[in-house]
Amino acid sequence: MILLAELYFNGGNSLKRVASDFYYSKPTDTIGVKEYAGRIMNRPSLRSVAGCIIWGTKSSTSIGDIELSNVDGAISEWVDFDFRDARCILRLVNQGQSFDDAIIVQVCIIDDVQRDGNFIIVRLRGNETLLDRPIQPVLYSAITAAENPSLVGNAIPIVIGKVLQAEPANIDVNDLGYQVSDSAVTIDTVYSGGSIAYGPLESPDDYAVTDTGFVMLRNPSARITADAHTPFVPELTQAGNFFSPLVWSGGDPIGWDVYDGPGSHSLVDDVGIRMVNTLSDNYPRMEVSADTASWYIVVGEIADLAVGGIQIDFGGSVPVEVRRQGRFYAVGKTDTSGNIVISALPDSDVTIRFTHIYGMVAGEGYALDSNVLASALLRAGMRITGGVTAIDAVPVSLGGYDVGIELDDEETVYTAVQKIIDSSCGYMYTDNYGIIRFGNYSRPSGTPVATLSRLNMTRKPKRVTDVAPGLSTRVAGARNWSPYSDNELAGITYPNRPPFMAEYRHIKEGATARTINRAYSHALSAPPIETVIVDEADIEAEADRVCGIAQDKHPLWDIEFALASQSDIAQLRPNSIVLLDDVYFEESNGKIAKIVEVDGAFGQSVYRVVTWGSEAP
Amino acid sequence: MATTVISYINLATSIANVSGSFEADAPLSNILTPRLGQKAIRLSGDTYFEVYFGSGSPTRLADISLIALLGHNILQIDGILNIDIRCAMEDGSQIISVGFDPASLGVNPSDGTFQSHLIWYVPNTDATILQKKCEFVSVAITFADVICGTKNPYTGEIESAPLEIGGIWIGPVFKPEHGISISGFSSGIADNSQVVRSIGGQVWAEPEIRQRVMKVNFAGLTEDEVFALAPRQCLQQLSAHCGVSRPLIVIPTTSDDELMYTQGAYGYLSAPATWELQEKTKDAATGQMVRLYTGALEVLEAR
Repeated sequence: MILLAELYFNGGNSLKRVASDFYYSKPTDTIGVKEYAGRIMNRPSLRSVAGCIIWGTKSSTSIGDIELSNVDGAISEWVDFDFRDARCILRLVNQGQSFDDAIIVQVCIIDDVQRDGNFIIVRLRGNETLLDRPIQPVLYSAITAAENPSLVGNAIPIVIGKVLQAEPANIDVNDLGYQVSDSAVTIDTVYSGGSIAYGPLESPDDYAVTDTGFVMLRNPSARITADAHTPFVPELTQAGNFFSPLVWSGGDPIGWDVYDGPGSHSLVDDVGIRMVNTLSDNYPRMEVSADTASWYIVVGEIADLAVGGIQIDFGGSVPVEVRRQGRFYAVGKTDTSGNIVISALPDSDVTIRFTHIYGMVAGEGYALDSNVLASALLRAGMRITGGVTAIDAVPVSLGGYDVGIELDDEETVYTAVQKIIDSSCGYMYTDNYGIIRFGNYSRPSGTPVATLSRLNMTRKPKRVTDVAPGLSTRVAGARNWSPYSDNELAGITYPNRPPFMAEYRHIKEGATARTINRAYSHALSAPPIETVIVDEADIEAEADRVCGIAQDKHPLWDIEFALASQSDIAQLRPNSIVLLDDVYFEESNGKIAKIVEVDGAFGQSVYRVVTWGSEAP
Repeated sequence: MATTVISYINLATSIANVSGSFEADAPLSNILTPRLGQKAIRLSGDTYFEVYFGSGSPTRLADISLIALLGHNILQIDGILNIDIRCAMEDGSQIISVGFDPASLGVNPSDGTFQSHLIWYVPNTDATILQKKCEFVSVAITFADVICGTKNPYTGEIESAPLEIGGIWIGPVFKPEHGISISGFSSGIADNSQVVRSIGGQVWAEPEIRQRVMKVNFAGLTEDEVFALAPRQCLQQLSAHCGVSRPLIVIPTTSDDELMYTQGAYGYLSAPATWELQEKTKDAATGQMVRLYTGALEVLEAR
């Protein structure tokens, strides 16, 4: 079995193909005859772990290095390529087999390329590390913070979902303007400590709502916070997968109008659309029509950028400039033009790999965990809707709860996503296509992808018990993102102060807390599980759910077994269900279990998995 | 006289495609690498290419005794397969072309079983050429109307494919007079497959490549055959040149076309070849006392 690796260096402009043996695709394959140089000297490993707050672990995907022979020095130049976060596709194929029949076993990204003696070492990482980037790259500028220059250089705040007592940025010190988020928010209540009329228990009518926050109509006497929610859910309105010649075969990208002006544009095979602007204007440009006065999020990837960049103009708000290679996003609101325009900055030579336009559509489910998760993922440049080759993450509703997060400039998309999925004891993992997926602490269910028995186990399974170190019978929610102190609430009577001072307004114990399994008795006195769930009923529901699962002691089975085919390597990932079918599994025999850890190497025939739980199929 | 042939110096250094075209990702120049997996794949047309030797070309035809096309997928030659060895005369003014029909010299198309190679062992019988002082210029190879692809060795089923060539070898040979000793030749198959057995006794196999392994012992090497000076070929030179990092071609017997194919292998030494002085004996022809050596080498087939 030959391991093929495609490495998209320099934004995809330098596609390198290597393999564990020399391999040539066939003339009849979709890519024609391509050489995969037989330089790979090892079998890179895969270790994917689903970690959650109950188990006291973090999810992680560890992909081993690719060691490439470089005795001839032919690939020494790779260390000078732009490799950070570049795509890598690993496939398995038999010698003589068509490339089109090769199995994709992992899509991942390149972390580093090193030269070590006669070897080039390509270090790989799971795609979820693309989330490890600041969630807000847009900073206040001299224009956007003209009325409060002290904000210049600070990140614009973000609120997603529903939050309580978020502390806004004072963007206008003269007219008392406050920004809560970088896109539309609905202000539910504005609080100020002290004795002023619009205090917590009084009618908060002394402010006027603006596009992204509010303006105080009279001077506040103390610190300002607001309950707010983002009224929109993201919905794909325009997709452009420029990298695929199947989608764009040489004319203008489907759905876009392209105007060259004095510049030019072209398709770069396997890479995207190239816009060349050698003059000091905003051409070439690509436009897509949009509803007027609506909010949009543009996500995309700049494949190759030496100088310059692109400008995204929503026709209304201040255009967003992107001068960084890699994933990007921009948020804005159209004005009367009703068009979203992406143009190359003057003197730029930019290749865009893809763009997706997500409209923010008013909807009741604005705070549903899946929608909040989607909005956070978009801010890492993730595509959340599309087919296998046009999707990066699949936000799902883990608990079905309303949640909300407020984000400051130190927050990464990764930590934001973690807060959301922690609220349902969730975990993330990547599938073989590199798509980021989610699951949570819940009893195994579904169709098994493999049956494990003495027929394929290469050693007897080991059993340990899930000790659930992070388990608690209580769940905390309705978080005050900026609690007040006693002094700040001087104008409020003592009995009414606690809700505004608490870190979490509600802490709920599960209905079956007193009957949880003896193995988890430590959970009875444990600190509550901290969540970003908003509603009291949802907090109670999550506490009930967790305690319900903890009624039983859950086994962890450590199993080593032989794979039947390459397809197994592709589909065996955390969250997959397997059938335990052997008396060696004792009380779990005949039951299904959930994979929470996969440990193997691409091309090797023996994998190790750890399963959690056992339920009747 | 023994017919064992070993070639350990490949003189081919450059190549020119004259007609026919090759895939951009699998150019003709790929056949100059020692890796047979790095192939040239024909895109279209009949094939005619020339292999050059660069500076330091051999100066007598006798220095080219083995021409081999390695790792190809030619199944059948319906049309032309021609080789021209081109030489420049001493005064540099005349090129003579020595064309020959390789079909009479040991041509074995691929049958899908072993490492495929077409080997033309050229006996040093052309007295006309041998007596002339000339310098090699090139070897030109022409294919036309050849059937290529893969052949199931057990069913004979053929799957057509474009012409593929993994390597070209043009070089002199080391041909010890006494050849391989009795019981001095052994070979077998090395298998890189992964095989695991479940605790239920089931076998889970991941088939990988097989490679032939060949061990050769020489019982009666003369001192010249062990220690000769270049450009003559000898075991010490072979060992020093190849070590474990340069390929060689070993053909235990050239007396039979089929055996050339089934026994002959392109590979690497598992360890540098060794030799040992055994005895002094009287040479039957001269009556002089001469020293005899034994030698051994092990070859692992390359791909």
